[in-house]
Amino acid sequence: MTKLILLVEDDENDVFLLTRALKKAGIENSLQVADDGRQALDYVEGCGRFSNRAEFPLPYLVLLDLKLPQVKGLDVLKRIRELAGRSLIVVVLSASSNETDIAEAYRLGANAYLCKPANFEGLVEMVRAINDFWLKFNLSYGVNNSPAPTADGAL
Amino acid sequence: MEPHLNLLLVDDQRENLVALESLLAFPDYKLTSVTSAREAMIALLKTEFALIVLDVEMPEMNGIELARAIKERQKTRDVPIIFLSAHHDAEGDILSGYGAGAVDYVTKPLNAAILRSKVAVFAELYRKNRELKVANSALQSEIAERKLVEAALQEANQLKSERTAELNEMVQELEAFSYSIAHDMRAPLRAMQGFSHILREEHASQLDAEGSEYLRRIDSAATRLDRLIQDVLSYTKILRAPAPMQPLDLDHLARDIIATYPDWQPPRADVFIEGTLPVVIGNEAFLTQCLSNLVGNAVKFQPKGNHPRVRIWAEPRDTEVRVWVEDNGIGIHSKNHGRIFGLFEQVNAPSEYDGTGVGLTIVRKAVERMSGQYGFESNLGEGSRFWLQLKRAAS
Repeated sequence: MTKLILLVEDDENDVFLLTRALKKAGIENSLQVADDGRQALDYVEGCGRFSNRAEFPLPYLVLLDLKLPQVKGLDVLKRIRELAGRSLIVVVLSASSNETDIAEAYRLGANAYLCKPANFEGLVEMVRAINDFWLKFNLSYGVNNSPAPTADGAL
Repeated sequence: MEPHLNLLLVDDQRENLVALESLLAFPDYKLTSVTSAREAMIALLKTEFALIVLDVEMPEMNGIELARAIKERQKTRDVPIIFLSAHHDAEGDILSGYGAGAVDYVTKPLNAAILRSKVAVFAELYRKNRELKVANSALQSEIAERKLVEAALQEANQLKSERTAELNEMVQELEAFSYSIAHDMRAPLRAMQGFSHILREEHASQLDAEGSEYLRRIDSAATRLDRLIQDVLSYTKILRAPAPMQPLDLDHLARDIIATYPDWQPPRADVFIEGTLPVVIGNEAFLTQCLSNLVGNAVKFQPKGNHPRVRIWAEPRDTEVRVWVEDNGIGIHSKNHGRIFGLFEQVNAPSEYDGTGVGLTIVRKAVERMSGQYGFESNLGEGSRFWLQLKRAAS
């Protein structure tokens, strides 16, 4: 089983383009999408329409937009850390390099903070980097820990 | 010189008055002599007296009765009286009713020395009172003035805090505005760029040359808008970001900046620093932005096919240093000299030279916030020399 990615993003264009970019970069991990902060928390907590863990397993990596309806991205991050501690990798994907956001994200325990690239090539380059670092080389710990990386790329 | 002291002498006997006048003939006493209680009252209405010397035994209204009348009047109540009395013992009790200080008596026959010294005591008392009154009124007006100043100050403070609140609100709005630009306005742009890319990559076969060209234009317009947004964000950042000042090794900073840009390296361009640039007092982020914008312009605004040559050097000026960035580019027509530091001002068409009209505005604002100066020399077709001037760090 590949490491599951949970994308928390309300902009359907961004969801579409990121999905495309993952495909283009040859990253075949399964992807779940939560399109607002409430959904994201439901998913992580396994409640509401995400209560079936067989269908919606805990993600290995969360790609988290900050500006979200219902529950704000930073509040999602805070709740995730309360629920799952540091075992879940959370990479913030924001549209801005606003310093207050960056500082707050790291204070709340984000693993990384990335600024959404404006063009598609940049997006492909970025998801490749995410895959290489967080899914391939980086070692996590906790419930979702997986075997050491193999030479053939995406796990 | 001090003003005279007015003394009122009251006695029904002319010869007694003459004797009193000669006894009290001093330059600082101005004597008024009257022979009846009635005249005395009139004199008291006209003039303010420091002291009254009053004979007790007079026809019609005697001295004691006159004194009572004087003491009843608000205006004359505090004027001291020296009674001239023949019967020492009889008057003692009456006089004590007036209270200490305000009244005294001298027995007849007059002892010149005693009368003079008693008059002198009252005169001195009056003088002191007068000085005190002057000092008091000066004090009063000073207090009034201070109150005025205080009120004005309070008003100014009130105005200041209102203005500060207004400014804070503006800063917050600006912050919210740039946050919204960064987040909400860039999202549709990402979609435009992303989808036009996918269209070009995956549906190219269904497009003819014209269609592809239109697509390219959409893409380049979106890219341009994104650049514009980023530049405006940089500008608002320069406006509001804190700018701590510190000594900066300009030489190190400039060489590092130049090394980061592939377009500024040979064979594409020659950007060189003459000598060693000094250590200046500035803000690193601001100065980095200034230098990269100036050198970026120098390399960019070149005639077609020209090889950009940019020379950077420092010119010491007293405690400051002027840093020059000189290019061999297209130069600036004198009619445009007033415009180039303005926001969104572009002398050249964007189709000719890619730009947003924000770069030099950022330089201007950043230099201003570092308490420096900026300027340039240029003529059309003769290249440009931009400069910025900052304080040198003490070596």
